[in-house]
Amino acid sequence: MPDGLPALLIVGALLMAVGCTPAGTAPDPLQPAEEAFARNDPRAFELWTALPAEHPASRGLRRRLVTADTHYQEGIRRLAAEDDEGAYREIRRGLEHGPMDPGYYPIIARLYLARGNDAEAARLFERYLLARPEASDATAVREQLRSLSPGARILTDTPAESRRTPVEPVATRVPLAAWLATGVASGLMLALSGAWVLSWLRRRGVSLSRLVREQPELHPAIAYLVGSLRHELLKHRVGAAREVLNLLGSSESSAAQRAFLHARLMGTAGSLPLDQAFDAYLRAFERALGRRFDVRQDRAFQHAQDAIRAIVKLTPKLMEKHASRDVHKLRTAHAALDAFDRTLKELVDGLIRTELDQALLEQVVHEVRQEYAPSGVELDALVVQVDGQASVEVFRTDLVLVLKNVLRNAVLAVGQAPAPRRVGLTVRVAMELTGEETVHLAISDSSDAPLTVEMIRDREFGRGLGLVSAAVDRYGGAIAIEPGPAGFVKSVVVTFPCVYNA
Amino acid sequence: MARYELMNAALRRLLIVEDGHEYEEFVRLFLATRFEVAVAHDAAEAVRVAAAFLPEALLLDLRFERTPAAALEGDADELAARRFGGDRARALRHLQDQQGTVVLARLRQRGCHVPALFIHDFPARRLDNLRQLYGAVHALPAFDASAIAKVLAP
Repeated sequence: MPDGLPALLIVGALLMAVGCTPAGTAPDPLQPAEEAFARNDPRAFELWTALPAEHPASRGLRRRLVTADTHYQEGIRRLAAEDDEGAYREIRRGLEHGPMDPGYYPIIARLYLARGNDAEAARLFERYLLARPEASDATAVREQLRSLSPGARILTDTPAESRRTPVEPVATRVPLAAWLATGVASGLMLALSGAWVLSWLRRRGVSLSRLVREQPELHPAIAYLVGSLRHELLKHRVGAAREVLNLLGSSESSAAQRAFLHARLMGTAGSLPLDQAFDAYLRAFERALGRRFDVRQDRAFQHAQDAIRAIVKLTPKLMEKHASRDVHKLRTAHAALDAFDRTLKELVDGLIRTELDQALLEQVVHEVRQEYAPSGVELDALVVQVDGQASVEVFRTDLVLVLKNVLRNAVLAVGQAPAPRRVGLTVRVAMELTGEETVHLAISDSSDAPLTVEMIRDREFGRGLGLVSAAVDRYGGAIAIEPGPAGFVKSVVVTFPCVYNA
Repeated sequence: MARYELMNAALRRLLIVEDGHEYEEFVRLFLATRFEVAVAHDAAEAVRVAAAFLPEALLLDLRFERTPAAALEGDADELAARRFGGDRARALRHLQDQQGTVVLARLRQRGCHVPALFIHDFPARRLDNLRQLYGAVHALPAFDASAIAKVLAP
């Protein structure tokens, strides 16, 4: 496929997903919700989710939203991986089920920005503001849109605001009215000041650690960016250069060693000088994470930037003339970068991690039992067995979704089978040849109803197993069907890589 | 074999396995007085060089991003089927990311049991696992000539 074509197709799909006409109102909220989706209104998602729970269509719409969301998330992941065809396919699949959560528009917009597609990014930012004008990050998005498209209609349209009534001149003969007017004016000024302060606080951005706490959807991007910064810049350039600095400190370096140092710090034909390379990383962070990440609010990045500037400034001086004071300053700068590296490592160690323990599994089993209690599905045995604790790099909600759907399928299958009806859930940790560990979640049942991986991967297959497939793919996991252990017919085995702290 | 006949008995023989030249450049510049160096750029070459050079220590890169898929050690199809839902591209990326450990597995299988060092900050549990699998395995978080010498040429 030509390079530009997938992007155009995605744009087309997104256009359908994020159209722009607002919905009307009708006595039955279902009709405007469906109409909004049909004409691709960016507010369709809010209308769907606002449908009262007691509405007969509510459950169906919510189920469709969950299915659609899985496809949209997968589409975003593929877009980030520059798999444009896969992204287009997933977004189209999402559209077959329901509207996109507008919260994804800025994420997709930033991905487009990183690829230089400013026009599409601006269009998506605009759609986001149409859908969620009062969102907490609306001010930041508005600024980003302004930098891309200053004439965007949503920026130039004056919001419907109540016009202040001109204050009538107050005669001294009505002192009470004067006091009231003064009070109202003061209140108004206080409110405006408060709004300005809040707006400034929102605009000024936050540190990376705060972004990690507040926006878990950015964790994959943050993990990638931090990993890249640590590996390419801190390990290969700063780390390797430190060796020569040690020698410079004792005046023992050779010409070849000084050339090596020069290349690591000042760059070569294919690389930027160290300080510019660091700045380029910061810009990459801002492009991928949006302007909410502000390096000026992040002390760790500030100290690292100062340290890198010191290294770039002092090292050439030291190469020409040995000075103990400069050696001391350089060692301090390197120590600051070591501390920065440790901070980054601690930050990414805790990202998107779920502890897979007995408590989580029993919670899932309990909830699935509750769901099926009214329908009279009886189990002769449902056992949970955990062999070793493990953490996986999967959001807890997605892990629960995977487990629940496989478990539901097993419960339904044994419900239609003759006794004894058995379902088992076991967790086993295995070691790979690379020293990594993988966790194997096996959901076993005593039903002889046929089930294959192809059936699970078939998105049309019922009972939510299609969701399992998409979620497992997204986190680098795998699904297999294996013969069951003693007392069971088969097992659905879901595998994820384990993560652990340093 | 002839290539390695003139070995210097005072130096420790170090086999470097990496996809580029950074490790080699570093060792030649900062550890030339401690090690005699041989270099391999993939698993097959590492096995060949190890058989002739008889290294006393290994210095291994972990990520082999510049190595073509055909030269990567490991069965991508088996890995794809077992861990990546049949996605061969993901399996290949994983093999690239972890290639240093796969090369080490191959060298150990071929009887090369000398101490191995990675410049990588493995989590403690993973390093324990690597030691359980491959014996003398060390890791340093950053390039540090004296630390490398201390580990591989004590």
